[in-house]
Formats: sequence, C-alpha cells, structure tokens
Amino acid sequence: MLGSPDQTDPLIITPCPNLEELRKKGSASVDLRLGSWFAEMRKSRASHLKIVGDTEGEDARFLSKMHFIRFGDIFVLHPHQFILGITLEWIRFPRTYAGYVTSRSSWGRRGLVIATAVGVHPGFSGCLTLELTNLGELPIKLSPGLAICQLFIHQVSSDTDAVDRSAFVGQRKPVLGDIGPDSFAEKLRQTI
Amino acid sequence: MSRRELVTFTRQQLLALLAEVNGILGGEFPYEHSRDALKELKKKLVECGDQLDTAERSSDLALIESTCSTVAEEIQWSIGYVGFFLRSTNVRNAFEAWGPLLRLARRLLRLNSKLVISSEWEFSPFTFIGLSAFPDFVFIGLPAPESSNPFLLPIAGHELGHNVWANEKLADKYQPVILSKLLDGIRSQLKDFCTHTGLTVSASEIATNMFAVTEWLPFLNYAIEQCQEVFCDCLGTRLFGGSYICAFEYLLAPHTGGVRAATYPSDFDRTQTIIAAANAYNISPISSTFANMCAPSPSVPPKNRDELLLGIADAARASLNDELIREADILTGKAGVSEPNDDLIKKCLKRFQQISPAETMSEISEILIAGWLSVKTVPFYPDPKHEEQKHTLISELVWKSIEVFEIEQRLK
Repeated sequence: MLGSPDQTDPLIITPCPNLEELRKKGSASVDLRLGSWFAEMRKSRASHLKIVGDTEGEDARFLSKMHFIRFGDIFVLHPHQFILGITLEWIRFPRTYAGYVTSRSSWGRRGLVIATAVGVHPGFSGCLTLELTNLGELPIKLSPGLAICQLFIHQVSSDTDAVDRSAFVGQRKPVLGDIGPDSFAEKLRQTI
Repeated sequence: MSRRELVTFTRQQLLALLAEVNGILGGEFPYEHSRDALKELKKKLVECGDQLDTAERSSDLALIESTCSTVAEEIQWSIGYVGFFLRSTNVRNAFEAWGPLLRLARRLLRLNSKLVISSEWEFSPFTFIGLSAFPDFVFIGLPAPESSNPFLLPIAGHELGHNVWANEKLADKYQPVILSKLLDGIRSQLKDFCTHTGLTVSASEIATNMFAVTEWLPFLNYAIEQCQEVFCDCLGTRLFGGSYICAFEYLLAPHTGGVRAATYPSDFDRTQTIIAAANAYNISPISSTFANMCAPSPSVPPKNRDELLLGIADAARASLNDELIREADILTGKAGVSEPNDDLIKKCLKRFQQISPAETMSEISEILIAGWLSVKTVPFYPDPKHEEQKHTLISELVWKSIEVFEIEQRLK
C-alpha cells in the first residue's frame, strides 16, 4: 500500500513496487510489469468491427482469443501485430488521484507501443489493459514480469464523486469491453 | 472377424488415439506438467503398439485375442485421460492456482510431485480419477462450467487427500482395525446375517468361512473407501478451513438425496464429520446452514443382505472418524502447513473491501476464506454498483491475490 492523505481511501499498487529503489532513482513514475494474460483478435473471422449504430460488423468480444503465458515463457510480438496485454500490478486509485500510463523509453525506442488509451481515472481499481503494438522492424520477445511501462500519478485538484464505475473496474485479464451509447453521434447520424 | 482384421482394427484405433495425442502435444500448455502427463500416457500407448506387433507375429489365436482385448481396454481407459489433459490447457481454467497448489502438494507428498488442474464436464463431487497409473501426479478436476470459480478451489484439498492417503499407505494402516470392527458388527447381528445370506455360520467362523468371506469382503472394501473419503474431507477442512465447508455446501446444493454410492458415506454422515473436524481444528464453519443441509436416513431394519452389510460397514467407518480427523491434522502439521491465520484473514477482507488484492498471506487458505466471507457478508460494498458486481469482483480479487501469493513465494 502506498498510502494517500486519506488513509480510508488509499492508493494501493499490488504487488507493491520497491519504494526504496523508487526514492533512490528520484523517478517521477512507477514502473509496471507485464502480466500473464493476452488477448489476440481472430482476424480471419471478421470483415470489420462493429461500433454503436452499426448494423453490420462483428462484436469484438467474441473475436478475441485469450492466451496465458506463464512466468519464464515468451510471447513474440511481430512487427505491426496488435495484442491486448495486462499489467502484473493491480492499481487502486483513490478518488483524489488520477494518472496515465506510457511506454518506458527503452521499449519505445525499439518500437513497442504499450498503450493508446493511457488515462486512468480517479477511483479506478484493477489491472491496466495494455494495447501492445510493435511499430518496429524486428519481432520483440515479451515475457510476463518484464518492466514494460510506467505510471504517472497526480492528484486531482477538486475532490469529486467522480469515481470510475466503468466496466473495467476489477479486472485481472485484458478486456475489450463495450463502446457505450453516444447520443451526440447518434443524433448526427440521423438524416434530416 | 479374422485374426488379421482383429489386429488391424485394434491397431487403427490405437494409431488414431496416438495421432490425437501428438496433435495435443504440439499445442499450448500453460505449464509443463500437463504435457509430461500426456507424454507418460503416450509411452503406454506406444508399448501397446509393440505388444500388438509381438502378438501379430504369433500363431496363437488366444494370445492375439487377449492382446487385442487388453489394448482395446487401454485405449478406452486412456481416452478419458487424454480429454482431462486437453481440458487442462483451456483458458477457461484459472492458471493462477497451479503454482500455489503445486507447492502445497509437494509439502504434503513428495518434492517431485507434479500437478495437473483440469475440468470435468461430467463432474461429480463423488468421483476422482484413479491415480495408480501416474504415481507422481496429482490430478485436480473442477466442474467445467465453473473451472475459473475460485470459490470451488478448496475442493482441491479433498483431491489432494486421495494422493496423501495413497502416499502414506493409509489403507494398509487402517485395514486391520476396519476389518476387526466389521467382523464385530457382523457377529453382533449374526442372526440377521445368516437370515439374509442363507448361510449357517457361527461367530467364530465368520472370519474364516469361505462363503461368509465372499459375502462380507466387498463391504470391507466399501468401509475402507469410505474411510478414505472421510480422511479427504478432513484434510480439505484442515487445509482450507471454512472455505472448504462453503465449497462443499455449494456443490451439494440443492440437496435432493439420490442414490448413494456404497464407497461414500451418506451425505448426512459426511456433513456431520466435516463439522466434527472443524470443531477439532478450531475452525469456524462460516456457513450457518451447512449443519442442517442433509437429513439423516430413517432408521429402518435392513431388508436384505446389502442393506445389512452396508449398515455394518458404515458403523465400522464411523467408529474411526475421530482417528481420521487426528490423522489429517498430524499429516498436515508434519508438512508444515499452518492453520489459517485469523488476523491475516481480516487483513485480506479489508483489502477486498478496498477493491484491492491481498499481500503477504501465509497460506492461500486465508485468501479463500476471506473470499467466502466477503460473498456471505451482505452488504459488503457501500457502492451499490460494486455490490451488484460483488461476486465477479471478489472472484477477480481472489485470483489476483493467489497470483500475488505465488509471486511472493518465488521472490523469497
């Protein structure tokens, strides 16, 4: 547990990072590691993914194949391949903290992008889904336990009741989730 | 069917199964022990092929027929195992359990024990896969639709019990006393025994009269098997505390009776013995409904030999309940498995209420007990949305806590 000004609503990262090492490095972020679950799209099954308002297309939830890679084993991410991964750490944000996750520069320079949707909202609790893409020229060997991304944490300036109640709270595996209804886009779609 | 056709058909069936096994061996395995078990099975099937080759070269028709029959039996027996090993690779399973359960198995059994966790479509809490063909392996099968339900994980304690029973040769240890109790029981109801079997034997002849032995011998085996089941329930209770009781209650519910297998105590007797074990181990059962979930069978005079002898076998087994409760406790203590720690359970519960997994638990039993306590505490979360999702949330937290436990063990 890393604590917070309010101990009834703490910031918790499990497994807890080495705080002594963090202090010594003087780093502004916390390194997070790769977990064991991966979700890969079954590309050959669909012409395109369905979004809200689309009557055709495939529901992405039924198109992904889950993999479990044990500690010590590898998953090879080839150039231009996209896969969902998950952090080893479970992060619990109090309502007064938010954050964002980015690649570690050493991996980024080798072409590995770890997230496209980087924000973590106040009140989030779960493992972070990582959108892993290899934009480099060479395959990359990934292994659970690898320090693969970094989490920046900041305090929210006003204490609100805006706690993350998304479908992603409390997940230990990568989840595709639903794209929720969008009334603005729906109104624009309607013909005059 | 000609001799040639007999061998050809048998060999074709064998090769088909071997092709299937080789295909599975080329797939993804979350841990190597499933693959190792499948390789062991493949060796036996290859040996069958060698036996067929030898028989085929013989002119002895009886030898050919018996070899083909033996190989056909081996194929039928193997198919169930192939399915079990294949299902162990399915991502419906929660593989986080493997490491901690393997460590537990190695403490209770041997350092080189291997573990396969899989799922069964025809799951029954009353069956387990025979393990004599794979002496170094522990097989744990959970119901397929719920193989990722962490609340059922405590029944692994019962499955481990079968391996401990075999490893410690407890059948040999208890057989003399069970036999003695069974014979005493028959002697005390000698008149009924003679009536229902049609035999005329005296009390002193019961143990040696060939015809009498034929009558009671199967029931000796039933009594020994029942003792094994009691021991496994005691071990499960000792290892996993109240979470074993809750998992057992969940699997037996809704309890509608049904035909009882003679190799198992009645459901009522099982539940009462588990409660007695929990009391002996100072464990809180957690569930307030467990004690009353099964009604005792009405006491009626036996109508036939089977009912008479089964009743006597039940009594012989029941007289050993306290001894079996102690045996499970001693063996678990010898393996260095500590009883669930109440303070750590409370610490784990607090974490679950914060929607965060637990750390620094001493045994996975603490996590599983906290999981069941969370489910049974209503409300558990102040946020109604979290309370609605509680079962799913707690499941994820339990699995993550078990994974964190394994990481901590590896980093020690």
